Amino acid sequence: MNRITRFIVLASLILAFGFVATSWNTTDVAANHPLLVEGERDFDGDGLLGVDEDLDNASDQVFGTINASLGMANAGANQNGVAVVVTSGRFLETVRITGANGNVTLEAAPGVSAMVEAVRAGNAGNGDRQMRPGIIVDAPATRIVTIRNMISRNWTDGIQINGSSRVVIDNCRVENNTNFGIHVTGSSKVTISNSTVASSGFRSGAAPANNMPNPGIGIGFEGSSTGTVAFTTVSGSVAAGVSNTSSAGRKAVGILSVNAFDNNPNFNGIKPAKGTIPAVAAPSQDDPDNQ
Amino acid sequence: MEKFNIRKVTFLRLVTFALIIAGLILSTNFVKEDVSANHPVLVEGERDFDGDGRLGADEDGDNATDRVYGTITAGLLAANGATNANGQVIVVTNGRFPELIRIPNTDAGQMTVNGVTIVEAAPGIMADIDAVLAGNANNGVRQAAVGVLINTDLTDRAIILRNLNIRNYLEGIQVLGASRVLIDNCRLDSNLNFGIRAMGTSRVSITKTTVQASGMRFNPMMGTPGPGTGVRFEEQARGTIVDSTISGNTATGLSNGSTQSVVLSRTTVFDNGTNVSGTSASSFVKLSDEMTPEVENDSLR
Repeated sequence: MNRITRFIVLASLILAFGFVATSWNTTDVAANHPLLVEGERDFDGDGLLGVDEDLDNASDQVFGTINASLGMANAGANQNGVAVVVTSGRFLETVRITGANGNVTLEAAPGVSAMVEAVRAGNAGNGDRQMRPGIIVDAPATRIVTIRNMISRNWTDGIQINGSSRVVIDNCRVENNTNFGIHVTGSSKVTISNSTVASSGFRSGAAPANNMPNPGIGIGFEGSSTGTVAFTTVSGSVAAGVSNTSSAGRKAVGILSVNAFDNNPNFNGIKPAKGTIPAVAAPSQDDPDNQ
Repeated sequence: MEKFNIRKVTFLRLVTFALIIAGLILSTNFVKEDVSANHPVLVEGERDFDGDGRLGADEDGDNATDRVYGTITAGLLAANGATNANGQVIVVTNGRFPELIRIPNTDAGQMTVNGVTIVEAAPGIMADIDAVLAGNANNGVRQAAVGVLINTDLTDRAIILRNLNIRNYLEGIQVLGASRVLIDNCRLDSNLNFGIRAMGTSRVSITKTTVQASGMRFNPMMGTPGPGTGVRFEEQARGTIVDSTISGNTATGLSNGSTQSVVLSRTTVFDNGTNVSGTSASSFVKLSDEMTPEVENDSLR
């Protein structure tokens, strides 16, 4: 073996080592790491927003759309990590959370308004988005998905939870979704706290959007799902405020200090616990205070 | 006579020199005293706050007058006019902090907590104290350690943690000794063994806090939890848990192995391996009946 051959062999070994080391680094990226998502204001000062921010590089770990931050490209969470929205903005996208590789948290930083929104005036995709759910969670039972300080508006379901997902919904606002504000299906387990679910079933807009409520429930538990709803307001729904038709029975859903008002009815299949604000009777014409 | 004059000059020089030295020592002491007062300092996340173009360690070491730092650890130490574990460390821009928080930081020579110590994110700010930052060389070390460790036998000074995210550590918060701790509006998840663990004779108040997914950390394979409990009291520790959520923890949501009682009120405990467990009938004291969700999943009833 002459010197040139030895040199080539050595160079190949170095290249191979470098490739393996890079692969290890990629594995490290898949760990449950936090990422930042910009809304409609630049956070990192690079002048990029939206898709441009998604694609700029793999080292800043700052993204411009929520789905890109949850994906694998450019050191995204790869469905195993935290996506934190750090500047306010409207996100015209159906967010899909699978928890394929670990726990997933989607949250807006305190003080930031992050709207997962079906409608933006003049946007070509409005009609299509209004026929879909806003945030879809379908994760294995071995994962915990957290949705915190987010807003979901103008979809069919604001947040739809399927399969055996285990989800925490904290400090969210869900409104103007035609079918369900929060729709819990399958055998999923959902903890809802400090949230507001309003105007489910009430959405106005031009064709081609179908704005008919179906059925227009605030929070609905179906299948064999279970959950708790605490310190939450559910109001102004076309149909029930909190509905439980789970096969797990009446005790599938725990209620703690829930302000349910102006729904039809406020509770369905649920015995409100102590501290829950009961239904308020409609004003009576016979009541002298109303005259 | 000439000999005497030489001695006199030397004497005067010595006196002058001694006065200068004394002045320096006095001024140093005044500065030290000022630094050790219970004063607030600011910590930047990943966005420049004071407009000097510095972040992280560069901000830590720039000067002793701005009292702005780039890491929480530096804000808690004494160098450059920081709190020296006696003051308020306020995170003022959003950011991820891949650090191990130690109060006091004995590894850095800070042997005691010098006064009331507060670590908080300003309202509207997200401070994520995280073991993992993609590609960071020390991810492995941090994931094998406690995130926030508080250990003091001094009971006349409180430690306050407010509005913080603490994630991906072996234990999120560990409280030892006789520490008095308030955990307010914090969010803990994906810590492998415990979210919050109180030991010794410590007293821990937990309010408006979420503890979830303890025992579930994917790196990328799921770690082995030991045990994966949300909130745990041991030895003679005692505390209160109010207006909080404890859910989705692999083992027990709220576990009291202490000889003392834990007060629990208005807290959702749901979807844990076992929601609540205690070593004696008096493990938990209710402040009100409102705490009871109706779900039949070992909820405290």
